Amino acid sequence: MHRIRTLTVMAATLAAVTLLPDTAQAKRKSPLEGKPVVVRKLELHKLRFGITPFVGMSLSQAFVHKGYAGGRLHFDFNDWIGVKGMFAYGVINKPAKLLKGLVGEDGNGTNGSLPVGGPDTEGGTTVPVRSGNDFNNPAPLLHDFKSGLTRNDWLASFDVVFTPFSGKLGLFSGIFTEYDLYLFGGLGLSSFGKQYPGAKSTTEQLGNLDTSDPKSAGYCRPVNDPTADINRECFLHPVKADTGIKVGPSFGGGMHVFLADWASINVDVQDIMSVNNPAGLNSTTTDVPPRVDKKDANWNHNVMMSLGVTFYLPPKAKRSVLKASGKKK
Amino acid sequence: MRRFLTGSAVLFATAWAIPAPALAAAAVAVTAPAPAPAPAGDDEDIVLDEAEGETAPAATGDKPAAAAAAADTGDLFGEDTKKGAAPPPGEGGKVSKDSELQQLKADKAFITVVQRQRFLKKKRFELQPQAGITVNDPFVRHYAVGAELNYWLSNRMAVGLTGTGFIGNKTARYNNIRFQEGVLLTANKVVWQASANFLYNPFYGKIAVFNRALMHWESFIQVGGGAIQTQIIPRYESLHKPFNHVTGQGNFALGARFYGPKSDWISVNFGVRTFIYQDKLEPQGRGPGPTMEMNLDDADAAKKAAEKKLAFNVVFFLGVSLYFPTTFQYTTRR
Repeated sequence: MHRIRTLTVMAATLAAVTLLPDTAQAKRKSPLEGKPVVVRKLELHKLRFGITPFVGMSLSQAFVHKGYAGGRLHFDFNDWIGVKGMFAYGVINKPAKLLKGLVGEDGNGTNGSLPVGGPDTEGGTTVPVRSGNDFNNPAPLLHDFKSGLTRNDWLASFDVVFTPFSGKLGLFSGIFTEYDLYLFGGLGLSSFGKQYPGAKSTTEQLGNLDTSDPKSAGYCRPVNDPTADINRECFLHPVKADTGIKVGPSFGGGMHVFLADWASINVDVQDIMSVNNPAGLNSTTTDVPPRVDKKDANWNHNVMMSLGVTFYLPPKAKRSVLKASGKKK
Repeated sequence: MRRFLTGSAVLFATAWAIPAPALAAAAVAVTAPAPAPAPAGDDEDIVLDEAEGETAPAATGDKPAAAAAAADTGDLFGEDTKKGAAPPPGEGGKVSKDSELQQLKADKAFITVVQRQRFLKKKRFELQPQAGITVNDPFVRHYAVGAELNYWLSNRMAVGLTGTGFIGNKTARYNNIRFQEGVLLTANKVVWQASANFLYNPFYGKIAVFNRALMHWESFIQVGGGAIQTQIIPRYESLHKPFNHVTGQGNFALGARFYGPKSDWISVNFGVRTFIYQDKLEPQGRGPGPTMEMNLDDADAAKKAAEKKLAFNVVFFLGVSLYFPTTFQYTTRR
């Protein structure tokens, strides 16, 4: 009997020790548990339109640096997700150091590394031909290179915007403002045009060469004279400017710093990828004879960094309302 | 009657003082009835219980309450605040004419933009493994792996050492230009860098994640200097050997670090660091061609004839900081 009583006391003690802490912890549930971090939060995005005029610049371009002007239009379904459309037009074209090194500071080959060629004394045409000194130079002639080089003309995208982070920012303990950080992704368009619109390749200038089938005997010979010599520039340095609109993924991120309910400063970095061949020249060694095709294109990053001001409609932002259940209205 | 306190201050003081006597009375009521309060005379001064104002707040999380009770009047960055120290109470515990202002002043000393800072770093070491990628060179891409060791002098300032190893490779563009334009680019890759740094945190804030979780963050600027080693990428790699070049470098970085809600010893960081140094490039006369200089085939000779050029290398990096000791104690009341 005594033993049973002892065991009962031990069991009760064990139950008390194991169960009591849970009970105590349950009682300590915080009244703020499950509540939003910021109550009556100023909802600066929810159900508002925004329009952002901006200026931007390209980053990490090989041939031509770009200056852009454009705009974004966006609508946010709530404070953390929305959609936006962007269009940026290239207004400034600045040759990169590499391009200056190739075509010269003046763009006409002075002190540039590409062979310029000389007058065609034998053929009697106005199209420059390769001089003897450059006979073994693997580079294309200057005018062929210029006819194939493209640059980005404009960028456009449609993206889903994700704004997970928002907060307040204090500057010098005197100015306090709201800010948010966002990421986005979607579909991008990039349009490419010729850097030198007036430049024509050797083939284009001669106009009578057969370029239809690289494997045919008459390839790069005059159409009306298949027994004539093969045109060297046409054969070894084919050119095909890769112009047009390219489709690719778009992604990036940015920040809004609010000046008022209706305006914010916007810093944004966006990458619109494209498969293109900026130089419009052959880059493979497996093509015999060389030709410009899809294999010469590769993925390129058209990165733009921009600074703009976003204006919001309606101009007044609402505040979130906390329901009694703790859920936001 | 002489008024020592404004209406709102009296209300505040009353609301503050009432809970303690009420609790005390409840405890005493079992043994003896509470004494009747004495009637207040017209000339009676209002006496504040100074000791109550010093009550230590409850410990936050796993922080010992004793640390908070120490009530060191340091600011939120862990530095002593002599000016903000609470003044001694008035004579005989009574409130003098100036005491209200003094009390307000003392309280204001504790009011900061962010109350209270989530993470204190003063007198702690920070070890930060980092990984990064260069972003400014379209022809040579570097992947960077390194570490940073900092000692925090205060919650805002740190001194430290950074070391980084780089793995540099030619990009597709480099090869395209070789095949398309027949041009061999003169380019270098970075091998490693080491520098001593000074870091300062000018901004600190809170950030809401979906308005459901709260993170603390701070931004930093960092300046430093040290050494960097680069290596040329020979234009004719099958003919020539590369040469290395060790030189001085300066660097500056901008970045941010984020603190989670629970850990006292980890932060996640990102930043952009720019290295500036004078590099040595492969001389133009090295290699086959009409301007070839035979004596430059040797790496040492080529190095002596190298062209000097100011170079910039911009690295975007991510890092995880580990802080030691792994805990800290608050030194202020709130």
